[in-house]
Amino acid sequence: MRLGSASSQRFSSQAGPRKRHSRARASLLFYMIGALILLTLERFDSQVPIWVRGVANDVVAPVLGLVDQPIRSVQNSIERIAGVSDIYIENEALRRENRRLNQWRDAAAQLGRENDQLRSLMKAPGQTVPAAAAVRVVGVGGGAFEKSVLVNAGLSEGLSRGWPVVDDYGLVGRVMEIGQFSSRVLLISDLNSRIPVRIERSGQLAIVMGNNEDWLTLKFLPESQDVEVGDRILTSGHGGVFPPDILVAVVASVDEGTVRLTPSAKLSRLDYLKILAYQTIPPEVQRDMEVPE
Amino acid sequence: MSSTQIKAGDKFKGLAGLVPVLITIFFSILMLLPVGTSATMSIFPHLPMIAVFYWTAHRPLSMPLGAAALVGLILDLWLGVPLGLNILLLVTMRMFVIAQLKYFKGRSVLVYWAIFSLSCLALFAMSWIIASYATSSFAPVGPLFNQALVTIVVYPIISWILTRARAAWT
Repeated sequence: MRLGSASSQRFSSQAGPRKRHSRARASLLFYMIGALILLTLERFDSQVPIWVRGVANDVVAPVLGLVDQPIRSVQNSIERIAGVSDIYIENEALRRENRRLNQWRDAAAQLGRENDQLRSLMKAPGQTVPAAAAVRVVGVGGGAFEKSVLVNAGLSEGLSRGWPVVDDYGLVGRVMEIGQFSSRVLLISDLNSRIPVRIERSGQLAIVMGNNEDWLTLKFLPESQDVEVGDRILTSGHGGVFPPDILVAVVASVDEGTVRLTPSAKLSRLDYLKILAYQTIPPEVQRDMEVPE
Repeated sequence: MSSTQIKAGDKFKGLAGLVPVLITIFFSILMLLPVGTSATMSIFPHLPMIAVFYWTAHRPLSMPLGAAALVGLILDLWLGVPLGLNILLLVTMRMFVIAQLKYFKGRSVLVYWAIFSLSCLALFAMSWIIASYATSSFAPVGPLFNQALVTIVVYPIISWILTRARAAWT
């Protein structure tokens, strides 16, 4: 009798951990399989992850905005303190720059007037792309896998997926995911970024490719490639994703066919950005083209 | 290590039990903030990975499997990386620590650091395979290796901060 109760006690004391163990194994399997299903959906470009991510971005964007405020203030204060000693030199440089820019402004105004007159004579359409919204970067993403930033505007501001994004210096990227109040912008330095461009000086067409680094690569140049260090690279407008003539990068080095570029946009310090309402096909034409179900 | 070896002392009391998960979620938010330059953007350490390792090694009951998976999901959603990637990484990290804890529990900080370093390198290699599978293209190895290295280097600092937090809330 005593023996029987001892063995049943041992059995029950072993059954508990064994049960817990199998439950732990089952939940581990559940999470592993769940993750693999999600990854497979990503692989086959399902719309589910895109939609879920848009909602998640909407949730985190206001939180990031709040957390970001004190961090930015500290960062700005440090920069201000560090920059005090340079103020006099910087002031002098800015005065010189201002004089030079004033001359350029007069020349640009003159050329602009001439351009408008010639366009009206030739009946050629204008190329100005209106800005849809000025947005602020509230988060970065991707880590080592992807180069993207989260901005604080979405469908509620009338933005649309695929629209180009610029800063004061050049092309930043395009809207990749869109939520109600936030959007994710794929940067031109991302591995999946491909931009049809032309070299300003020679007019040759090529493709700018990102590689998840701080620099870009110029690919698919014609055999008689005419590219030099310092050449400016502009969007060509081919493919219809980006409007033509936006500054993308400047050639940094040319080594045995490998052309490295430095992005013109300040990708390292993105703050306020402009999203351009760019559509190659006007919305009314697009509506007419849609096949009724 | 089986769950029976986890002692009651390994557990925080009351609401303080949420502290490890909350700190790990806070680390996830930190990874999203646009601080510093693009250099810091690409080599920002994987803080949640350190946190999951630390809490599983020191307070296993306060970092359950579900919490590790939840933090992974949050990271995937917010960082914009393939959905499921960080879930797999953090769940695997927890599983590895639980299985190996009996061999290194109570050893010096250096041993913990060495074990974290090895598991971190293995997980980053795994993440490269997973990301390549999900995106159907080979992700560049350089930025990934840099991030793994930075994560390993900052481990002692983050571990020290978490030890202070543990002492304050236990």
